Amino acid sequence: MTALPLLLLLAAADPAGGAAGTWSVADGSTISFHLVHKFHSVDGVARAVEGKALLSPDGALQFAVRARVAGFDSGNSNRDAHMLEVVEGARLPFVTLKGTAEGVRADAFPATVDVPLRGALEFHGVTQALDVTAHVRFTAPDRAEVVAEFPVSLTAHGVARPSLLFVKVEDRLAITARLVLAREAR
Amino acid sequence: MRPPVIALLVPLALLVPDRPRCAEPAAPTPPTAAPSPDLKPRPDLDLLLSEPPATVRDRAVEEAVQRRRTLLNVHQAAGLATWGLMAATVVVGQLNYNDLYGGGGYTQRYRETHVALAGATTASFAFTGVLAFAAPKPYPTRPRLDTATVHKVSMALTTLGIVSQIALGYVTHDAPAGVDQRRLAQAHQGVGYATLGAMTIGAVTLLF
Repeated sequence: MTALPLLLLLAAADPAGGAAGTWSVADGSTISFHLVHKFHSVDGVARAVEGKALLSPDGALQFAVRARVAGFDSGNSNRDAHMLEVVEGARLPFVTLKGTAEGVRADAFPATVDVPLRGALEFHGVTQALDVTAHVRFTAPDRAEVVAEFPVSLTAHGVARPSLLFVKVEDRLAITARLVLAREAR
Repeated sequence: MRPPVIALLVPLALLVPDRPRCAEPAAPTPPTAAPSPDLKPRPDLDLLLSEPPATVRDRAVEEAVQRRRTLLNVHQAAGLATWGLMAATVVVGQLNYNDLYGGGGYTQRYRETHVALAGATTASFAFTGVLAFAAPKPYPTRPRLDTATVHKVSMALTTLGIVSQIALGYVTHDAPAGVDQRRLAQAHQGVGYATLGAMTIGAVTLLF
């Protein structure tokens, strides 16, 4: 009888379940973009992604993820160089997403949770608020896969839209982040 | 009752580690065009990542980017014009062939137009190429097989075709006695279509 209140208190103290800790973005993670031009569409992907997430026992999450803009590969070296020109890759080399979330928990593994993230995206030296829902699948207590999709406006970030044959690309950049997270040893 | 409660709280306190630190304001960042007033105070997540070195404006890079963009914009316009001239040269060349060798009466009414168009195409093509070669590369490109490479290879083939056409055109026109002028004209015709094809591939491939 005395064990039950103790267990309840313990559960309340660790609503994050067994997932609390420091998580790192691991190999296999990608951030990709889809860009539409009147004549064609372009997909680019960055495979060198770094980031950390801190999940507290109370379910509070802080995270930061970034990639080098020079790391995006669209399959065309000239186009990638053009993109670096418009995003000023030499001066502003990173695109970074930082933010927080509440109530993140995983009681069993595997577990899938949708996590509303409240963050800020810094791109081309301009920071914009960004709310996005990340689909997180905890495959094991020390492993998780995250998928988040969100649009980014080029002009809102001060990026002059590149053009081909005098036709500018659309303003909307569709971003998909597929992250593999590994929990660091406690 | 007090001692058992304390006994419960002490281990709980040990179980709950400190929340991640929400430390000092972040280091100065580049100016933001649209700060987000509704954002919560952000935790200092910079602690998680080694920050990139502070970067400053490189005037030389910015000027090179500007120059490159200007030259490549003109390159695109000149390239489209060149393609149009090349197509017109081939069409009029076909009419000229029909007139001279296809039972058209050998009136030579297309000859001057064909020569003029060929000259304009050659000059426009050379100008377009010079623009591309003159464009600085502030951001180096990695050599790889991609549509840009296909474009460059196609334009190299087009260059060969145009040079060959100039030679073939003169040889055909001034064919010495005993040489089958019609055969030379057919070769000129075939290379002309191939050159237009190479140029078309080089242009269209950029759309992929």
